Amino acid sequence: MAVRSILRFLLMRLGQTILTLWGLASLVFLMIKLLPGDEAQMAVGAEASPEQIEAARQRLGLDAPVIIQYLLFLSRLVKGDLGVSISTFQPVLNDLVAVFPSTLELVSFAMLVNLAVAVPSAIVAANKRGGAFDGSSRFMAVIFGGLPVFWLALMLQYLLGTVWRLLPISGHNAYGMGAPILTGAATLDALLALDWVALADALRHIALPAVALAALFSTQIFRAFRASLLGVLTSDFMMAVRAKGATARRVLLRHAVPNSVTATLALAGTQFGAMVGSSVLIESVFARKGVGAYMFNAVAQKDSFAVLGSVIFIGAVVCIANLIVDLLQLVVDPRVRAAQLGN
Amino acid sequence: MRHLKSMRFRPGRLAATALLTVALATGWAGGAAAADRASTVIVAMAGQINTLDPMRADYSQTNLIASAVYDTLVTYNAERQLVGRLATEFSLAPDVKSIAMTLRSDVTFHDGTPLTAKDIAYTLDRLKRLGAGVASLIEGYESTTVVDDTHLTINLSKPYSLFLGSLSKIYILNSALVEANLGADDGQGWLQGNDAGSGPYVLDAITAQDVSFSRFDGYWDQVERRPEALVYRRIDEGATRRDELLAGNIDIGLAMADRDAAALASNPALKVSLLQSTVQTEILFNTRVGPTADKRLRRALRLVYDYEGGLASIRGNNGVIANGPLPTPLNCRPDLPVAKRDIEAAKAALAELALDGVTLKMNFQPAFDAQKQEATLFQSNMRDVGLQLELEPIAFPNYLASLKDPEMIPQMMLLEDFAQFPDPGIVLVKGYHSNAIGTNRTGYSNPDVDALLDAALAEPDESRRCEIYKQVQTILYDDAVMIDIYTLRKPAVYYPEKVEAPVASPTGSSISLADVRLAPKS
Repeated sequence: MAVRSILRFLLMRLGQTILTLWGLASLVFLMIKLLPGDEAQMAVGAEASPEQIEAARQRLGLDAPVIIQYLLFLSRLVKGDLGVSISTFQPVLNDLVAVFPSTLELVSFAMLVNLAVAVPSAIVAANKRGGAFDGSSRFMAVIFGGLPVFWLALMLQYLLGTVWRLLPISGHNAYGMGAPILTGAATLDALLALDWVALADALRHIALPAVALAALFSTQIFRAFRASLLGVLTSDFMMAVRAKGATARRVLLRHAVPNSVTATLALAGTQFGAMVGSSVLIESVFARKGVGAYMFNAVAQKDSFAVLGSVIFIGAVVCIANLIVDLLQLVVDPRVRAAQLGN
Repeated sequence: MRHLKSMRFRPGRLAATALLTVALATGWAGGAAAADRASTVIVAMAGQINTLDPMRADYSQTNLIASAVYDTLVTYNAERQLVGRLATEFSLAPDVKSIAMTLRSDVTFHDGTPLTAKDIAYTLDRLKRLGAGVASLIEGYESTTVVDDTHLTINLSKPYSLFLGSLSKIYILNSALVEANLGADDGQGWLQGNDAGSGPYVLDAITAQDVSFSRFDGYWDQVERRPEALVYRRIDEGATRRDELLAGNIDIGLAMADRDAAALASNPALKVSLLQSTVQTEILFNTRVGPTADKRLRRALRLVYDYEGGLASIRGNNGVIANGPLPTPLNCRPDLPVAKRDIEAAKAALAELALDGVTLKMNFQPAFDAQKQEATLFQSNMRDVGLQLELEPIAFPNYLASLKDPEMIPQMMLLEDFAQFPDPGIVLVKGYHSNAIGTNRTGYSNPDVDALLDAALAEPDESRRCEIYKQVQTILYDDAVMIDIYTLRKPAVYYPEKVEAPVASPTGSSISLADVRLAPKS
């Protein structure tokens, strides 16, 4: 029964994911077609003659009615073909596979920083509600929550990188320090090569971008988790736990935290997608290759397949992240499990 | 409740992990030195490298990289005269419908294959087939007749005197290597990340952050102090390029913001080189429809812009105020007046036009800070003469699409443009011939100018072409087809202890990587 419930849940989520991606792809396709600008011209260059532009239009199939282009796009998509970029001449999937590990690396480290800072801070702040740490951390949350990511990135770069020379300010590795590229994520490549110097160098390079990307998101997790914890800590069942003689530490870590984590987990899942979107600014400031920069360039070049491919790719990653979060919620929270699986 | 056990919070372990991370992050790699950094020059610039296929040398980044990996048949020297590279001799036929060429016999590609006339034919034929990028420069190309390994004739379908100059932007491919990796797209996919050149550098690797090259020791044109290795780093953010320069992690910073260049100039370890580019800032009018079809209005508006103020406050005086429609470094320019603001004369001219209540509109690209400021400055200048100017941002693809129909061309468009190669003809023919739909950005149509440009295209003699170009420019100036603002000098910042001052590429908006030299040892 439990297995059937889980399978039904997974199938439903898979269906939702496919519907979401189809909707996303259709919407972006329509938006691209509505935007002014000529894809055929962008494919052949600003100085191309009308004849060259028309030849490119035919070669790229852009002379067909939009609905035919859309159906062709969907039929290719079903086969996993995201098309060929008009600016790099590579299959879009290959392009994305080349740049995505770097973004995934950045977002993963940023998520690590995010949770490592926000969760303990929220626990301490909620436990000592109204105390000095609670007050100062809430104040900091307001400050960092209001700082534009771009500006924060530049400030961190300037102070920690340029003035104090503590950390590198751009790129993935120092000159000559990178491990052989296997995945495109510098830290993972260094680990796979068992090159500890390259790993340390890659970690130094990712530190500032990860912190800059994590800052805003940490404030959200901090607030959400603190509020959730406070709600649990003042609930009736916590009085019962205390009445049974549990220590304050046990009350907090064994009872309050697990019962508060569900909403925060959901938020973290949503943040994962938002972080991929925000990474474009961070990648620009810290001169890192990534999917955000790839998509930004594709939009500027009116490279339809690259834009569509990027959106679908990111959409798929976000859907997978949300699915993982949903599954985690099922594991950690019996209330969610009961509501979703009916047992 | 088993799941709760697995979530036990272990502050001690967390702290240890954090400490280890910090130690890794701040200590271990700090002192490690990269190999042969001293003989490697790292150049940084902004912008995505879409492809290394030299067919797309119309992209600045691709052109920069192609200049290191590939060779051209001809190029331009410092005086902007056409000189041979792979071609030792070249001559335009009297009917301007063919070009005879003799090639060097000592050139090999990076894989050791000798370069022959067959490679020239292959490169030009491929461009004609694909019709993209720099293919737009070889209009009228018909075929190449290969006489022998070092002799060939390029045949054109119509007289086209610009063809020879266009060859300075055509990088020659190793035909055998491309043929072996043709794929379904005529080698475009393969050339995106591979090297089929004979240039002074061999492409080593394309990594997440840079493209690296090593010196080709079999290169035919050996010169002293060419670096052993080059690295091109993409750094989009100007502030990051500046800080990486200060940290010594890059040796040459290109496309530096004027304010950053000014700030770095005070650093004794750094120097600023102002590249004598052909980049010109201009406001193009729609000369065909709307209020700007009236040349009296265009002439009046030319008197409104604050040239000196804009150059000083927006461009840090890194430029020269224009005197005519062509960028100042080009040859064959007539002696035209330097653009000057004259509010009283503008008011008097505008008074005759009964423009009460008319609001003019100008498009600009908001992605470029300086252009945004220039648009705002012009809007303010227009108020001084009693005119309202509406500013409307536009993305470049949208602007290009508007050029297909003169009716759709923006009334005014603020733009930075540069000559693909330093021949006045390429700017004039592409920009002002009425047949040049898509590149004629003002919708300009003047039978006299068309006739002159056609005559220039069919004229084999360079000095006579030069005279024709001067006549055309005089007419264009008289017709006030645009507000020629200034020709820019683009700052490049470098370490003089390490490298020689960078010089502008004659065929691009930046430098040529092939020209980078280490500083002489003191």
